[in-house]
Amino acid sequence: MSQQVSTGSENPFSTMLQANRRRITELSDAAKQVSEAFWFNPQTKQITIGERFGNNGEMIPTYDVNVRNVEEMAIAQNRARSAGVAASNTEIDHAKYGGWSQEFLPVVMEWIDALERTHGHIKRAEDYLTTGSRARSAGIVRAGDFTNMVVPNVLGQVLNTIVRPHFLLQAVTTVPVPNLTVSIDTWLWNI
Amino acid sequence: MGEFDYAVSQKGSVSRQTFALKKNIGHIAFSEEFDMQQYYHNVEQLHVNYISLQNEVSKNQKVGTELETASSASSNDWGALNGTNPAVSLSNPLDDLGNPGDTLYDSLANVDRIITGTRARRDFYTNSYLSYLRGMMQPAGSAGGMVSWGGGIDGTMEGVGGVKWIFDRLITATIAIIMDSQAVWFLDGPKRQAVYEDSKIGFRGIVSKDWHAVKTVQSTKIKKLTGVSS
Repeated sequence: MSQQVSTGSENPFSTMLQANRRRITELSDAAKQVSEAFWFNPQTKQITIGERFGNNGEMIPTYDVNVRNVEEMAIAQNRARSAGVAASNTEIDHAKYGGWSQEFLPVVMEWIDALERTHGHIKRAEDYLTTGSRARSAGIVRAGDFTNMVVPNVLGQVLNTIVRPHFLLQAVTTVPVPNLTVSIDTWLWNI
Repeated sequence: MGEFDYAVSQKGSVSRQTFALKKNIGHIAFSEEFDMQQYYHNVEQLHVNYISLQNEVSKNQKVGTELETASSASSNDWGALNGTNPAVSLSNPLDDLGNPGDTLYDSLANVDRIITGTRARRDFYTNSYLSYLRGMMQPAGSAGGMVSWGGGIDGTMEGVGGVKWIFDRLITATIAIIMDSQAVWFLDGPKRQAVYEDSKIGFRGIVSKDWHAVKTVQSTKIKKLTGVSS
């Protein structure tokens, strides 16, 4: 049996009759999904959206689009909660983002990011997301830009310039010779 | 001499050896286009330094080659251990050095140099006969401070007096040379350095010339011991 855990409008049953206006779309952008209700699928533990209307005008969930897996969410949140103040960044992230479906995860990340930046003020977070106060990533100069103008950073040291010292010259007698030839006389002592 | 015997006058003689020095050249050149570039390193200086240092290596190599032409005598292996009592060395290196040194001395040599590679020097130093000299039963290598890499000069070496022990990687590992430093001369001749320019082709050159030679002038005052290390 399905369980409706949340509604997307004030009065779903008033719109229920306006069948033509209700639409469950397969838009790739989750932020543009339009639905009347969230449905909980007890078999998959997923909160989903998507419904159709029966012959009598009743709403029947189709579980088309996964929103969040409640079981994964609970596991991640319990883990972070039991870790308490010692919770790692990874555990906190799992608690924030655990269970969200691929379609919704980017939206949720943006939203949580906006909330954290605005210190939890929901209105400000909405402004942050929708107005010009948000940093436009396309306008930020990145490391990959202007690579043909980069000045390379080369260390002043050149490796492998060592020439080994040798000591054999000190084994022999060095004689300065100003000319091209030199003669050496030896006294033959054993006459 | 007996009564009325007299001595016939005698005269001595002098033999002359004449050597010609040989020219050694280092030569590099840089094109005009090379000078129109900017480099992160002083490429010209790297080349000049290399030539200068290689000239020194070349001189040492010639000395090493000349030293190894000395007449040879076979020696015991200083690193070998006694077959029946492997706790001690097979032979006494002081005998191996001492006997040919005596012969050199008798030929008027003033023995003041021993030249080896690095391995033969280690074998000498760790020989158990030398350990007894130090009052130690273990080789000096384990006492530390002995094993280092590269060449050098030991001004004083235990067991041998009055010599400089020169060790260098350019010397064959299995030999030791015992000599009078006057036996071999390094004839250090004139030097010329010049920078020239060829504008027609478009380059400038640096040429460095060094005339020198290494000659054994007293072959009876140097001996090569073979097989001192294996």
